[in-house]
Amino acid sequence: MPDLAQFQRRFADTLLRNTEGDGDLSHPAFAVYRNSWRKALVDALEANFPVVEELIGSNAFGMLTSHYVSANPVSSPVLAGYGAGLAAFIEESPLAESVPYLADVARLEYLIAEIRHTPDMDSVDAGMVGSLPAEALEKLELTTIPAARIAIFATPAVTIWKAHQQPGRVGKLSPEWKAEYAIVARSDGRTAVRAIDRATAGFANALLAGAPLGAAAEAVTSTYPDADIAAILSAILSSGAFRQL
Amino acid sequence: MTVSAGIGFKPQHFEEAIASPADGLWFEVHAENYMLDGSPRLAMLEKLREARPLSIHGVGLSLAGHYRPDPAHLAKLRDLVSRFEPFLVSEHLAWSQLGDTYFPDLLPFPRTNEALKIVGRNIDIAQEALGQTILVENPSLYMPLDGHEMEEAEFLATLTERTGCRLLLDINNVHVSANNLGFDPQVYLDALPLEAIREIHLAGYSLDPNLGEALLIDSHDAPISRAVWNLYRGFVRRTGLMPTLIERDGNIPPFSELIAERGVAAGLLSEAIEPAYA
Repeated sequence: MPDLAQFQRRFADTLLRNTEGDGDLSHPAFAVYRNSWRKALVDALEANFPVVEELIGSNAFGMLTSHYVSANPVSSPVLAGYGAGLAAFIEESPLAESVPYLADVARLEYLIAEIRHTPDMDSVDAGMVGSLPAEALEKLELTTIPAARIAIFATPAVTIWKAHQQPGRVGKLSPEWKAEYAIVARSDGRTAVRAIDRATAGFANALLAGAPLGAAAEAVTSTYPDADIAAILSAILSSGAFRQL
Repeated sequence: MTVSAGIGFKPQHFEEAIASPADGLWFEVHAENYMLDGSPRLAMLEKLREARPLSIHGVGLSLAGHYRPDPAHLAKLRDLVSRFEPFLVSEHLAWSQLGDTYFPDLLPFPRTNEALKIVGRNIDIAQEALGQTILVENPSLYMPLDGHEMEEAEFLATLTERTGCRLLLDINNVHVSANNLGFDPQVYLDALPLEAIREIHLAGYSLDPNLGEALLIDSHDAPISRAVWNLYRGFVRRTGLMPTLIERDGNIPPFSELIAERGVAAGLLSEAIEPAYA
């Protein structure tokens, strides 16, 4: 007579080994159990990484996710955040060489997934900021809302990801091979990925590090003497990604 | 409002769901999809709840596991229940967690007297933590296991007696299990304690790619089959009005198709309340 704990261990071991079972677990229908928990995790990855799947095709994506699932079982029934390690996993796989921007696209898609379930919060009002006297403006401290991320990629992942949002554009794509920067934010219920230049990314990161606007502007100007601070501030404010501290 | 036939809620159907004028319509959600602190999805669920009665259906408590239900998971479920005040809360006669590993599936076990005690204890713990009665759903089974000491209907009936839990009867699961294990679904339905049933689930199944009709899979990705409708029609003649849920989790069609399918269930429920010969 099997005791429940012993039965569960035997069943779970067989599922995790992803092989044929022994005794009653050698039944051909055991394949349903073997497949379905893995499929639930693969489905969660498909939902979070649609462009990664488009880039490599469903066969290669199936192999990638199958390996990922084997190496990364979950400990909780809440699957919304599954795939946190997929970008790093891609970097360690042969895909890193054949599709060198894939890990960055995965990183970008995970940022999008991550902010999907963060709380709503109002961003700073651009009109209010515009009306501040110079002294107050310099001292203003901004940080990101919960549903926003500043992203830096070594590859043109933002251009590639954006091309995959518009059917028909992918074939014509030949992005310049350079680092790219973006603000990923959900505002008014819509998630947007805004490409920004590196001076704007530097400015945003200075704000996140706690610098008030004036100090962030000085830091950026010293690194990028040509930086247009008014344009940078306008991009930061219109992104809807920042709130007043 | 009297609840009749409901639909498993999908966020992409939100606008149509709250605008639907269907009489007796209600919705059910999977608890684990809403265990996301601060997510805008919770605000959406609040609007849905304002419009319609809601049922919360858990998939992660692992009631048929030898470990006790995870207190942290139970606390999250309790938070959802107190926030959304569902008219039904349900879980499964299955396990999915072993130590630190969670299998997102509903796994089987030998129905022994030992298992009966453990599942009863777990239901007691869950009901105590939630401060309310839960419904327990019959699983879809795919293969025989060694060591069963009683039939599923007897197992479920004993659980209702010992814990006061009620039952969620998934008629598609009965059809799928009966087909796969070779028993008569009507005999199974007749053996259930009718008075303990509080909800019915209906869904579609698919055929195993290798074994075909010998192995039906509870895939929730197709319309409800004729065989399941027939079992349902006969069953609700015995129960009368019974909240009935149309579940669709894959190949999700437009909302209007789900409304049409729940309309069939609502029609059969009204026939069951007021038979044509009355």
